[in-house]
Amino acid sequence: MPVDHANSARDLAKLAQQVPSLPLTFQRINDLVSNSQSTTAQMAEAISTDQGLVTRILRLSNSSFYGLAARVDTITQAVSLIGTRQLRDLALATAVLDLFKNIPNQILDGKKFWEHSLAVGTATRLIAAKRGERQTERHFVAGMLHDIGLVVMAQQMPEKVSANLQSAASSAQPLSVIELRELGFDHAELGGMVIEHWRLPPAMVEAASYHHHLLTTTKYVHDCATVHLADIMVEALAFGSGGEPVIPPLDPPAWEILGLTPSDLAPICHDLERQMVEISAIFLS
Amino acid sequence: MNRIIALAMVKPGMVLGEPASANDQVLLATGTTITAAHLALLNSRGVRSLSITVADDQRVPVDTKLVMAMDRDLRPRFVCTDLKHPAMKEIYRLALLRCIQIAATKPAGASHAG
Repeated sequence: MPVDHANSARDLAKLAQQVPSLPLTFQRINDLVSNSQSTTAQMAEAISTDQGLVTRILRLSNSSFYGLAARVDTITQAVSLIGTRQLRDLALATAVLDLFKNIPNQILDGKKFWEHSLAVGTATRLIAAKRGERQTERHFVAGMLHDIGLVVMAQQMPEKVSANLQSAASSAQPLSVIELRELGFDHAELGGMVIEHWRLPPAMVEAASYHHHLLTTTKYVHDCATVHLADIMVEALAFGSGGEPVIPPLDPPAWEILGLTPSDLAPICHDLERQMVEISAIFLS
Repeated sequence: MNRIIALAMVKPGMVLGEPASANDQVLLATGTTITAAHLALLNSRGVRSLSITVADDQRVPVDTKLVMAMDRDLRPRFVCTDLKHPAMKEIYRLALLRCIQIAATKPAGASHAG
């Protein structure tokens, strides 16, 4: 039966609107970053209201993720050494992980899903760094959030997700292909709408929306291409599982846009392996 | 050749391929043979992984049959990709290598299939 696109659009909008708000701690941190008058002390104070966030930031600050020359013992030091925008992005990663910790396990293996998402975040950050980009935390978050639409689907329409996963596995097709056929939208498009609903940067919205089907005309095409490649690498290297029964195809224009060579991939894979040992312990333990 | 190994998987007798450090302080130098006391120290300092040397004569010999079996297991996962594309070809090579490395660290008798 052909998909009713009007119904699909309504379903999609409804799903995105039902997503819970980001926690107040993150909103306070975000407000402080947006305010040029805010101080390091105010930022440290806002972060300190969430003990879980404090612990994760300090462990990350002292891990190979940053490889800082100095030991970071306090949040005030972390704010000074890592930067407010970067910490805001890490606070966002933590907030989303906590918000969606309880994925229905009978649909998706939550631990494997978040391991996959964290690995895509880490790989996205490594690819961005290889391309010479600065402020790579936003790439980490963009990568980590790329499949957020799938979690929302698993919570709001578990039976359909379960059927789509089975159909993708039995036909050896990427999940997004099945979703588009059955629902008229895929988890990538829904993820973009959820991120937009949270009023996060448009680059993150596009990176999630187009991580399977790249549009070369989008404004943040490099961000989209980076997450696209990271997702394929992480699926191929089997860090966790994003539910895909097969490795999604690489879009050749995405590869061209990134300007990398195949020999760039082994060092990224090596660093990903090294950093994921710590990232998993910090976020998933 | 060095390999990154989670601290929990490191055994006494293994040799460091890169210095073990925490918070910019080198705790153990390259070439150090790891002891149980070292492992306790590294754990207490929050070290999570180490670069371990795998000497040529200590490397697990590659079992051609195992590689072929892994290639056979892995290939269907790549059915939607173009393995002639240089980037995908390299990603496939890295994926196969990772499968072999994981299999080499599994206890004897464990299945290689995922």
